[in-house]
Amino acid sequence: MTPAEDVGPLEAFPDRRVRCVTVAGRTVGVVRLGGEVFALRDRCPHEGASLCAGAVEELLGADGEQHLTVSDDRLVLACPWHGWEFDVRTGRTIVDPKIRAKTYRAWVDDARVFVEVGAGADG
Amino acid sequence: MEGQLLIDCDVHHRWKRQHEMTDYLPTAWRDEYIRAQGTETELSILMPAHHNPHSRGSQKRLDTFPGDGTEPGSDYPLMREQLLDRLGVTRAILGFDIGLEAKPLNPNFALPIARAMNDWSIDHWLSGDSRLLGAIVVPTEMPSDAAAEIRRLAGHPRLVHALVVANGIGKPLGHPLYHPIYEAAAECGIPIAIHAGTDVVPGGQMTASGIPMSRLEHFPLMIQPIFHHLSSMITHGVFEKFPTLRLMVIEHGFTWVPGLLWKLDAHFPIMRRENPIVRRLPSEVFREHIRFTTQPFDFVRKEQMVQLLESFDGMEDMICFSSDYPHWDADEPAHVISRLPSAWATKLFFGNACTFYGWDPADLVVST
Amino acid sequence: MTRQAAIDACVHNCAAAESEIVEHLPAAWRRYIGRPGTLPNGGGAMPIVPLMPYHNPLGNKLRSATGVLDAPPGSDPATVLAEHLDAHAIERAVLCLDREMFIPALPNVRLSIELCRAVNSWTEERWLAADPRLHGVILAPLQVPELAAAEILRAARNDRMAAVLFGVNGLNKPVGHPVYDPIFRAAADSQLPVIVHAGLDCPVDTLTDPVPGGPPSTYTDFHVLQSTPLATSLVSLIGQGVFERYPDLKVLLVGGGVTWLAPLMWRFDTDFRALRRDAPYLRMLPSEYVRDRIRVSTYPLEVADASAFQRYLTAYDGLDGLLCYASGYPNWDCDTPERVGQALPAAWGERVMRTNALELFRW
Repeated sequence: MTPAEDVGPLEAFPDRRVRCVTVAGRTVGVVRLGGEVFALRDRCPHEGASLCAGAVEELLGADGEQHLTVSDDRLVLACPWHGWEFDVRTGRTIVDPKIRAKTYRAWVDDARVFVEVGAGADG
Repeated sequence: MEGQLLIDCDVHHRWKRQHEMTDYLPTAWRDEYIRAQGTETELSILMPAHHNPHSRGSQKRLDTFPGDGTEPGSDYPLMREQLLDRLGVTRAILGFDIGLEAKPLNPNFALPIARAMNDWSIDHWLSGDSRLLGAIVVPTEMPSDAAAEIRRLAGHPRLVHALVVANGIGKPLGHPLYHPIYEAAAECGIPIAIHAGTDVVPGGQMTASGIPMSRLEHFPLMIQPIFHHLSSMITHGVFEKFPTLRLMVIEHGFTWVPGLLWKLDAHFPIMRRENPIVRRLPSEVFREHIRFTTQPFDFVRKEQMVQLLESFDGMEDMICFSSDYPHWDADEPAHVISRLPSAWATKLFFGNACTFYGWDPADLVVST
Repeated sequence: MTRQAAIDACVHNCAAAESEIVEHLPAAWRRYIGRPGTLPNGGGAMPIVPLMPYHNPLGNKLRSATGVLDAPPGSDPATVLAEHLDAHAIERAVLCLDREMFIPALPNVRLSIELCRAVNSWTEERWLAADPRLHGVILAPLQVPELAAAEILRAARNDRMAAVLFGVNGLNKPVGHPVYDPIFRAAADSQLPVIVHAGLDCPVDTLTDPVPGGPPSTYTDFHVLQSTPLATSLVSLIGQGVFERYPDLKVLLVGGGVTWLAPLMWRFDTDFRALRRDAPYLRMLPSEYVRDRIRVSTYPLEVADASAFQRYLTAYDGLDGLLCYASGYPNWDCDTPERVGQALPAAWGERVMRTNALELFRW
């Protein structure tokens, strides 16, 4: 398994945005939520778009009365092409959990961001 | 796609600023109507239409913005990089974005605008990269003007079909009042094309029984008008009156074709009573005269798609690849062929389009 | 081979004469409508049933082999029972009316309100009393949804009323629009499905076209496009979250045949993956709402080559769970149970001809 790679200081990753890094030859989108980070493969499972060109959004939902709600802490990464929404934590699409973008282990240690890519790590 | 001839039958191009195109208007229209408020301010050519806006407003792939404040599809270098070179496109047919300017409020203005759009397109897009081909946009609302515009430009070597756009009269496109358009196209030996969105304009009726209330509702229903346009072209004998006419149906998908044809064929005895000019079975007419672009392609299992299509003979001859670049719902060729029989690739990617447009595949250049 | 008796989800019954319905109006309204024969040329009664602008040159109805001469097809209960139910071993039939279904769109809305109640009363007296196999639909004044809800709740007390009929539009809002919400609430509260019947904008008084792309210019165009208002209805009901609001609600879409459903649902599901934000209150894919809450009549079945047709139908997951046999008798395009049974995959027979309907109508 490829060792975890230091992809930079946390402050270099804007909050609630996606930033692309290269790890072990793979393009990976890193999404930051406060002190947490998530990593998704930069390839939409639909038609292959670069997810790094997409938009990070707070998840839109609805309450029991069908009134629109917006989540504070659940983020999606929306594909720049068809807008498929990927939960940044799990990589699964909101509409259909059977469809997902590959995710990788990512974490913050001592204010630096690490991503682990490799055999067995492709979500 | 490397080593593969690829014809993209639907790409959307546009001007960076409206005046790029309106500069081609006759002086009087340009200065006394469009720019009457002063040269810096132009009347917006495009009438508000029934679109059900996209949440967050953008209907384009987010990575197709040129970055200079102008719209996707307006930048040739970016289109070359993202579409033509990246996918190895052999030929791409440009169809404006999506040409609804040709239905202005004032019908007397329709032909001048269509002419300006066509002249702009020729000068700005069709005089360089030989991979780029274009459409003759016609003012559908004024059929005799549309016929005149077809006759004016049909000889241009880079214009491959007449784009019948923006149905503001609110009649199905097979209705006899539109026949001068088809007569001109047939006479000039070029096909016509109909792109989705014909009936979103004022005066049109996009959906039966009420208008959609969101983009989510709009999109599955937006192809409804073509069912009527095609049905009416059959019932009014368009392809009997104009036997050399061909029609490319763009951005309507194609999975609905077998069902519509079974219905139409079953009505053959009735339609012949209603119009004695009807001579052939509708399915026969479709097979000979009509083709469909593949976009937007449904996200279903391959075996389902193949089973549905193979239930109707000859679908592999009737579909032509299209991307719809740079719209949000554009398709990639690899995605489309992954869900169709691989044996269909040659016809899908260039064979059917070559036959339709009268091109010799030997004249096409394979990308390397 | 013996076959289980079929359930017929749509028979187009009608009044032999409009006076049959007028008799069920309150006295003052009967006086307002008048009586035929009191004015020249047999006149003297206001016409109350909207006309149909689209006519098949080969005939709109079957020619009846038996029954009362000169009576409009579908107007005589005894003929309907003998010629259709008995002849084809139909266990139950849902009477969906004929042009009477357009009454809720009459511009004279006060009259339409009274007539809906009168039609429901006529249904009970003339038809439901004739044979226990016959079930009725509730006609409601759809232009005024709150009053429609009240009439639904009232008429639903007769348990031989099997469904609420939504047979005409005219507000130029899709069936799923919030304006119609009281109707679906009342149907759900009454545990009745809503039958949305093709046509919807047929009467000229609705001022909208029954098909997309402009008014039909031939009967063929009109008839071939009958599935389009059903598609709009389906998309709007799901898209507007009507099935989330009413967990007991089911809808039967009648009159468009079956081939339109797969292409629409493949596209709707695909679009939902992209456009979920427009309807974030939806918890499932659109096709899953269809699986759970929407049924489609086989009428009128688009049979060409049977094996091609069956390959087409089986390409869609679970279509056999979605279809309910309906004859459409006595329309020219009606289907006998035998014809439908032969056209569909054999394994589908029981569900489509009977058990899907038992479940839908809660029998």
